[in-house]
Amino acid sequence: MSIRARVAAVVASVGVLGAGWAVGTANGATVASTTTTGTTNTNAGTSGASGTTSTTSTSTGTTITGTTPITSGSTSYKDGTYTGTTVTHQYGSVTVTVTISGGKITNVTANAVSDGQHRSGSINSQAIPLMKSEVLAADSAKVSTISGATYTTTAYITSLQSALSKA
Amino acid sequence: MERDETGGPGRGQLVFEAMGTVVTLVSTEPVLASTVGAVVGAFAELEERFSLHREDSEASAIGRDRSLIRTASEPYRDMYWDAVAWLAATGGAFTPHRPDGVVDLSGIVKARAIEAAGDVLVAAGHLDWCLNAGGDVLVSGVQASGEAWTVGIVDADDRGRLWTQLATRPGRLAVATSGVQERGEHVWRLASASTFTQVTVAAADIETADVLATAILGGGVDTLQLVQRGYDIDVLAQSSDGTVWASPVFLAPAPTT
Repeated sequence: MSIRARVAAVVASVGVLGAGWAVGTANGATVASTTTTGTTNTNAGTSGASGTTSTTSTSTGTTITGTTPITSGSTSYKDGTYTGTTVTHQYGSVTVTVTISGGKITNVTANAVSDGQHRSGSINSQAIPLMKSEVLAADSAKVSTISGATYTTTAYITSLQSALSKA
Repeated sequence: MERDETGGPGRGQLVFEAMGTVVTLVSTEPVLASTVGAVVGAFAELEERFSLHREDSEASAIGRDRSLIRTASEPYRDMYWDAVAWLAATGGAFTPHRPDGVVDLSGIVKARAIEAAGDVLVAAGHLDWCLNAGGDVLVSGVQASGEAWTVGIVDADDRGRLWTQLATRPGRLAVATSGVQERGEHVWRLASASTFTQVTVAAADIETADVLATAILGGGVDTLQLVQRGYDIDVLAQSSDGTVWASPVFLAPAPTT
């Protein structure tokens, strides 16, 4: 591979990285088109024997770099909540969600899901810190009994009954 | 005190008071009166020996004069050493000693009673039931519908509201919750850093669930991380500042965008 083609490939990689950032700031359609551009570029770089192809790939690479948030100002994200790709690992998967407010990242959360097949259960049941709102909501139709701290008999019954009727 | 409502279509339900709280038993099959008597008896027997609210109990006698512990009954010493073993296992976060020095085993006595009542039911051939003693839950098998017994968990910030839930499964048949409003003084604040107001633990057995919930409530995040290394449990701990520590089983599904 020629030096020029290597540069094109690296630029293409940056372009794909940029696309990765773009996933967080744009909708699915934009992501798809950016990814396609990156792929085309990489192919061009790999097969870059003729000068014409190399020139084409370089110019394409420049175009991608120009559209990435890294060079065009990384503080201007569009507001909203964006869920990243789910990453699977040995014991399950993790999905990261980013919240953008006022052009800045205000919250990043990781949603870990166990595969339910891990034998010991001692790793995938590890508690992690969360916001209260990230906890599964109760479905009173499915609840058969209630757990809560006890203090007195009557307070417990009152608490239990009102919890069931309000949920 | 007993209000026996056994005999509904295809299921039995029993509600009675014991250990200062309410015990509810739901069984997919009607429970014979003799079995009901043995379930109630399992609580009464332990309460008689270990209640600090009864002047004539062995626990009250030892509470007044701690030196009597050396000549305590076999059941009392068993329970005491069990509590001391939990003290060691939780790095001191669970303790059988009240701040005023009185030995208080109530932290495990109720769990032992629930366990004994469960043994009574299994011995009588009942395999599908849900036993709830003042918010501490032990289940066996499944509901009549075939679905798992599902335990709703109360919100410490609004105790009249259901917050989340846990479907029981093998290895998670017991669920216990400890809160700062809990009656009794066996919850110690070890670390000033502990801001937990309510802790729920699901485990294979009710004693482990109950003790570890109490320990994490008192010891905070450090104790949470300590006991998770040694015990296979699910934990849901709520703080007054709105943050929680939760095992993955309590997580809401990822939002779809």
